Amino acid sequence: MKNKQTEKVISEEQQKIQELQLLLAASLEREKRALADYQNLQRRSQEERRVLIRMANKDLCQALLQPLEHLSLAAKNIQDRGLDMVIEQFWKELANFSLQEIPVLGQKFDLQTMEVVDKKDKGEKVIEVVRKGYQLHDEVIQHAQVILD
Amino acid sequence: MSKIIGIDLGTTNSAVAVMQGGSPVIIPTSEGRNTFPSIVGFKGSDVIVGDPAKRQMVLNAKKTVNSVKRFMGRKLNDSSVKQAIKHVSYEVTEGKDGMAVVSIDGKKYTPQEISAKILAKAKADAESFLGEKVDRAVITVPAYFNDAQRQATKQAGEIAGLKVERIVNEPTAAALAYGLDKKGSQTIAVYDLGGGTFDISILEIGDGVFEVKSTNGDTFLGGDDFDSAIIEWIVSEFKKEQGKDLTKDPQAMQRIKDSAEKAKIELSASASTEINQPFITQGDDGQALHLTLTLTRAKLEELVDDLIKKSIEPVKKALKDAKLEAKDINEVVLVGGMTRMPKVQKMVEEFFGKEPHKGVNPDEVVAIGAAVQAGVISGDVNDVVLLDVTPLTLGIETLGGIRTPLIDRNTTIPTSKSQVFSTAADNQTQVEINVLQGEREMAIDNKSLGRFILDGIPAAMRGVPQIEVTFDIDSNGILHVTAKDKTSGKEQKITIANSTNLSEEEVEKMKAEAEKFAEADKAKKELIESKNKANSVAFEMEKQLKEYGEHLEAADREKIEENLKQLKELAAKEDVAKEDLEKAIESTMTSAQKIGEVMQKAQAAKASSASDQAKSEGETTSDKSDKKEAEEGEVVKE
Repeated sequence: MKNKQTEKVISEEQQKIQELQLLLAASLEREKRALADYQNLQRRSQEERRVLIRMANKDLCQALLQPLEHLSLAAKNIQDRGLDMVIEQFWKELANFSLQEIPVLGQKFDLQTMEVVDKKDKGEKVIEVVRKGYQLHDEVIQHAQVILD
Repeated sequence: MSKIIGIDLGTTNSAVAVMQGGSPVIIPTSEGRNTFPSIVGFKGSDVIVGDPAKRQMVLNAKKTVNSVKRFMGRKLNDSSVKQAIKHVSYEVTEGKDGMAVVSIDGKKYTPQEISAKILAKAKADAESFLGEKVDRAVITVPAYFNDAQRQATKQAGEIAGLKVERIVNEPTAAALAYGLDKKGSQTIAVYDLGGGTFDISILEIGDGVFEVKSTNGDTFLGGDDFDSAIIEWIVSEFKKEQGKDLTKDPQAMQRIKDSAEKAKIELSASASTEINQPFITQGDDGQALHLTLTLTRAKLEELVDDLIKKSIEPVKKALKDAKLEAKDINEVVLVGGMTRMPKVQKMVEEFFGKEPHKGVNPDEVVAIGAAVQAGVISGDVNDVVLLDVTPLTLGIETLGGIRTPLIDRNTTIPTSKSQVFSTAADNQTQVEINVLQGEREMAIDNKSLGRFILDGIPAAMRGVPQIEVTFDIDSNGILHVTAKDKTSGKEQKITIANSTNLSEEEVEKMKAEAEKFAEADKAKKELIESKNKANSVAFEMEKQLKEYGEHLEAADREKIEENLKQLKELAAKEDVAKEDLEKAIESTMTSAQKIGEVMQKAQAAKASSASDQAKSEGETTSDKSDKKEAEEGEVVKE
């Protein structure tokens, strides 16, 4: 009789232990997950910060691209040495911030830097640039729109 | 167990999201964007997906697949397939069992194989974002997708190496993103105007289960049509003004296309926008022609009026099919980039008679909802430990009765924070720590949770002892405050239960009071800070006077003493104006410059006698005068 009772108590306790073990395992798993999430977040925010600092001027540069492009169009039409000088100055300054035009004319089509808007024949080389492409540091911030042969 | 990602596999664009730390986040693509075009390009043995595929579309039209979702799980002779074929430039032929398949270079690809390429990109982007392997996903499909189409989507996931844990309806995902499943039984309308398709779905939710009551839509209505309407207008206006047809000039058309899209986006935020494209073409006389137009929001609304109205019919039909009226709808959710347009929002609001949900980015809302569903499956959502936050700021009282915050309100707990304080008077051997809770600037206006005294601080000049005060709130909201004298190592602590479980009313009341008195409190605090500064300046000056006073001219000394006296009197006055006090500090500091001068002279004399001595001993001494002692980082408080 007593033995049976003891057994019952033991089995109840064992069940409790099992439940607690499961609970503990779940908690540990959750803790690890939270820590991992946190570490990943930290890693990512560090990386984002690095990129942010490097690319802080990206929006400004992107906003300047169209007016500058139009300025080039004006220079081409007006043909004035003074205006050319101003544009040169602009680009020299922007180059100091690592903004650079991507040379594409006459080049073979490159998916990483160009977007095709039209092709005349085989579509291998760039014969016309509709919109120039630019990169800031090594990131393309505007793909060149090109017409291929 | 790996994370489950949520994928919005769209007709035009796709997006991926995942649960992190209990909330959904969008996974950026390898190109750094939040969504990517659902386009797949084949180039030799290479497969290009997303933005790069879009960039080479013109070059490689026959081998670039877009809108493949329109063919998912459909037969070639299906009327919708026949219509969709007219809009694509690649070949669509008959595959097994009469199903529509894509033919590239004579090789047949099922739509699920093409979709798998898109999903594989989603998987790869997610893996690089999460830094771990991803092999499970929740994918969304339109509510009208039949079983074959759902199966095809599931297969696409499996081909991409993803175990599809669940296929979720896009409108359901959108509702989930807004947490509408937690609001009890209701009827929801989801208005989804995307890049190329329009869908309206009526859902009913009860006990967390969504039921699609009806769906309708227009498979060829979307943002692209809005762009076309603007382009047409620009071209016709230019023709009217300059007599030139720009449609024959691909270069000009490309520039117009870009500016039309830009104008459309700008007009969602402003009432009018300029479309300026100088040197767009040349006149017959060789003169350069410029495109300069002003597009107002009203004009845009007029241009696209038909398109917007076109979406109303399907909405009415969907309601009719669901046997409901507009007024029966409890919640309206907007999905798709075009729903950013104020006119679209207004039209939806007017039709349903209630403001639609629009907080979540409409391009991302479906992916976000898919991630929420994925979170539920993986246990990230159900089991999420709801971490509490401190409802009010916790801090201590410092010199002059100012409340100095240590833990700001809304900080997630458990958390702990330490700050080093010092004594306010010479030879002060004990400090009282008054633990405060509230948002007011002055200690007295906050609730004091408890106070204790740390004694046995070795006698020293004011500002020298370093007393580290640590606030630590455990996950049960119990606050442990410890004050420790760093020199003697002596410490005292207090434990305060119930630091977080204030009733909502109490918290609101305290916050409201803080807001009400914010200005006055700030002024009071600033005045006390000025007084503290005045006392500290006076103390410092007196010390210097004692040391160097004898070297001063009698007149200078008198002036400084007079200034000091005034400053101390002012600082002691109850109703002194902050400006007067600042002025007095300023003039005391100015007059005390004389002390600085004599100090320098005295030091120079000392240095020269020292260097003389060194020279006479034939040794060189390096100049150490610029190497200052490390400054005490902490402001002197209580």
